[in-house]
Amino acid sequence: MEFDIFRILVAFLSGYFLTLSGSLAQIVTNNKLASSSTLGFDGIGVVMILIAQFCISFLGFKFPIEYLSFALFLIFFAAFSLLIKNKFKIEKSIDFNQGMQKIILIGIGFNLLVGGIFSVIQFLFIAINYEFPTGIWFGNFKYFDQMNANLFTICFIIIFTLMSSMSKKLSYLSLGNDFARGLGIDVSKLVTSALLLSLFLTGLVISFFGVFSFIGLIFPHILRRISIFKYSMRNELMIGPLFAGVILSGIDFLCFNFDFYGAEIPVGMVCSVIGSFVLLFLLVQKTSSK
Amino acid sequence: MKIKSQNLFIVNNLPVNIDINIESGINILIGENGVGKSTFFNFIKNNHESLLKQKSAAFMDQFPFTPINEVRMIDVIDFLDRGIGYFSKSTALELISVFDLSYLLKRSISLYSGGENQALKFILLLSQNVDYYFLDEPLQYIDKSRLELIKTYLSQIGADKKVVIIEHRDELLLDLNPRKIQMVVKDKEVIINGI
Repeated sequence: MEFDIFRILVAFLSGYFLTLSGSLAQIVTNNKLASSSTLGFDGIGVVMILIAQFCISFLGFKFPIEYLSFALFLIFFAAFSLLIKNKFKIEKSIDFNQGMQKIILIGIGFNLLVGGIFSVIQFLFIAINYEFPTGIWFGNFKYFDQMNANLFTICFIIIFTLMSSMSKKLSYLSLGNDFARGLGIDVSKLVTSALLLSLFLTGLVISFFGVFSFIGLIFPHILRRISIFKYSMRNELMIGPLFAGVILSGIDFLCFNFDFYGAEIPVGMVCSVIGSFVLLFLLVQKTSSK
Repeated sequence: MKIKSQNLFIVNNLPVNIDINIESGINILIGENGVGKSTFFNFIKNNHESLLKQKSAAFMDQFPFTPINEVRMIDVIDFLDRGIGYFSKSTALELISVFDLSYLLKRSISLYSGGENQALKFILLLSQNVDYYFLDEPLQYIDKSRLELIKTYLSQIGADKKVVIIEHRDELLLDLNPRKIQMVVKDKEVIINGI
């Protein structure tokens, strides 16, 4: 069997980032169905890729699509962060839960809209024989390189260090916004930071390797079936994503070494299919046990 | 401790003016539904270091714990004990025994009833050694057997600490000789003052 250490590394770190993104989304919204998909973050990542492809195909930009889409995403992220900081408070005291329900519905709607637009644009590009990034809809690590492995590693070091201090406050937040506020935590700032971090992690992975549907939703649920994560939100945030990264890199290793009639099966597709079954199984089992 | 300020914050688009003196003992905040009592508590939570002049405070809100994982009472007590200097694990365990809730220690909080959730919140509050205690609807879901226990402990902490309670059923606390603070809407502003 073959392996490439950089590919294993980026797969591991992508699993880490996406799982952490999902856990953060679920904690701050206090909603087990929250994830980068349901909050619309996947859609934002895909829009940046579409804009990047447009720039390359029609405006003559000469950049690799993944770096151009990441650059566009960073510009969007910076602008969005400033907007949130200066104009809006994501969290208000009493009606926070109702506000979050609306955000989730808008996020789901936005993702569906982007999916529809993606299909239309894909059709148009193919019809006029322009190159189109068809591979992004099922994430894969075929196009890794050392540069993006280095970038991911730097991001991992920063984020792991950040989570060392944030995870304790997020543990309190997981019991309720009012409870956390009562312990002196600036809930508004914490929620904003966590959601922005979740957005960043999602955009980072999608820009380089495409969409991995359900990982951010399913992996936190799987982690919570294991005792060391079930009772400790801090463990879920600090150790859980590492565990998920190992799983994703393991699945990708298998996809790389066992092809289908010469074609590598996208690991994102495998995760979507298996993950959906696993989630259904877990939910049905939990409902039955109650 | 005196708090006096004009236009302290906004509730329901009305400015809130406050002139109260929170003294040791039980203070009950009364007012009509929707006047902004819980909002006032949330404002204190966000600004208690400046409002209460660096004194420490503990809060009990009216909403139940709704964790997304299977965290248990013992886990919450452990991580509060590790993370908060003024929280006492031994006090918490003692109170759990007094309230006859030992059977809940290793049960997931997401499975608690309303009354069990409320009792847990009260125990976590009492396990914090602070100068001010703020309780929002502490008696909701509480059965008669635990009501007297809670009143006993409120009376004990009120002996030398300052306790502020929002409670619609304030008649249940009359025997604690509470001072009343009212919050009313008057002339397009919200006024908080002692009665």
